[in-house]
Amino acid sequence: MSLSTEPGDTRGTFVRGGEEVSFSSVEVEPGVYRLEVRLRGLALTGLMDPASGVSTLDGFADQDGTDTQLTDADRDLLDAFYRGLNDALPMGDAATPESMYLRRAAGLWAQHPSTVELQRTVMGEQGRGYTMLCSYAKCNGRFTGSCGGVYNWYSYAKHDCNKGGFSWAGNQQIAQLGDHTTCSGDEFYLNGSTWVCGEPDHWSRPKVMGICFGRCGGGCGGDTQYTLDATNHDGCVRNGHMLASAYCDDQFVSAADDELFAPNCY
Amino acid sequence: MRRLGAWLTWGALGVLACSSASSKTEAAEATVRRLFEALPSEDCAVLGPLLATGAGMRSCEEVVAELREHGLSLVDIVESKLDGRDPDAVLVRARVARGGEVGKEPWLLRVERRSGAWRVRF
Repeated sequence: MSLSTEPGDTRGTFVRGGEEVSFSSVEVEPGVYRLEVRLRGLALTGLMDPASGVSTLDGFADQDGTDTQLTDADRDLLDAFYRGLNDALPMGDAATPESMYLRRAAGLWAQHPSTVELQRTVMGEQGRGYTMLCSYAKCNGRFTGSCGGVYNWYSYAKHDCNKGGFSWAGNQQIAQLGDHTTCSGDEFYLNGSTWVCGEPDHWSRPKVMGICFGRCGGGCGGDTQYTLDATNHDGCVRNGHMLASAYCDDQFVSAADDELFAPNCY
Repeated sequence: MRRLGAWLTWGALGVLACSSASSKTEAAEATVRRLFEALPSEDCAVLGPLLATGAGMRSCEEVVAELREHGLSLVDIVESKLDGRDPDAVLVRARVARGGEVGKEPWLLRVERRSGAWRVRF
């Protein structure tokens, strides 16, 4: 990762295995940021106006501006780029605004399903667009570290899919949100009285925790937004569905404004 | 005269490009329609040639089982365009119903030309 940051201007390149991502985020007028990410012949752009809670996102072929679609290979490289940004930038609000919004958009694109259009307008408004769940990200009074057996369960993370609707218990999880544990990059679920590393597949309301359940972005990203829609999206993609499964499209679209605009919990 | 020849040549190339693009999108749309028409049969002898399968992708049986479990059906095709990064891929915007309920937004289906045949990639 090669990164340069000046007031109102963050840009650089990220290289992995011979593939390059070039990126920039510039404050084009007070509080408004223009994002550009280029990779594999693809241009991803965004114009973010957090004060108004409005953003426009787009993606197209870099060569001629025609339509294209995110593929598995794009998402894989974007995920590596997002992780690179998480390592390179200060956590949460300590990052400059333009770099923080770049990181959030990168996290969103890294999870963008192929079946969802790249060109979107995302509106974000607390209460209507997103609901914060910061209090559920704490256990034992803390946002991070072991719960020490003292949990603060959120009931329920929900999705709908081929197995059933939102009200079916197999599509619900009782989750401890927050950054409290992980196992080889995965989460834990309770099987009887034993915590097992991995993801349940449509069990009836299993207890789950780990790898920042409920946090916007994949896994434990550099921002600390815990929201209702992000919790439901995690409840879908971590429940026997692949991340880009079309069954989780609705949850992805609902969580997009959370990821871009919700404030950090800490 | 030379300029007129150039104009005619560019015009012919333009027409060829358009007809090439439209033949691809028509073929891709036809593949999507055939796939959804044949889906209730769950017969991979019919559906297999309409699906992109192979290395790193799910088998016909897996894809068909998932589509059927979800009760997916094609409502209509909104439009289709060539993928700007891949001349052998077409993006088909299709309205799809799940369990009889039409989704809020069209799905962006990817149809790829593989071994001379157009196949839907899930």
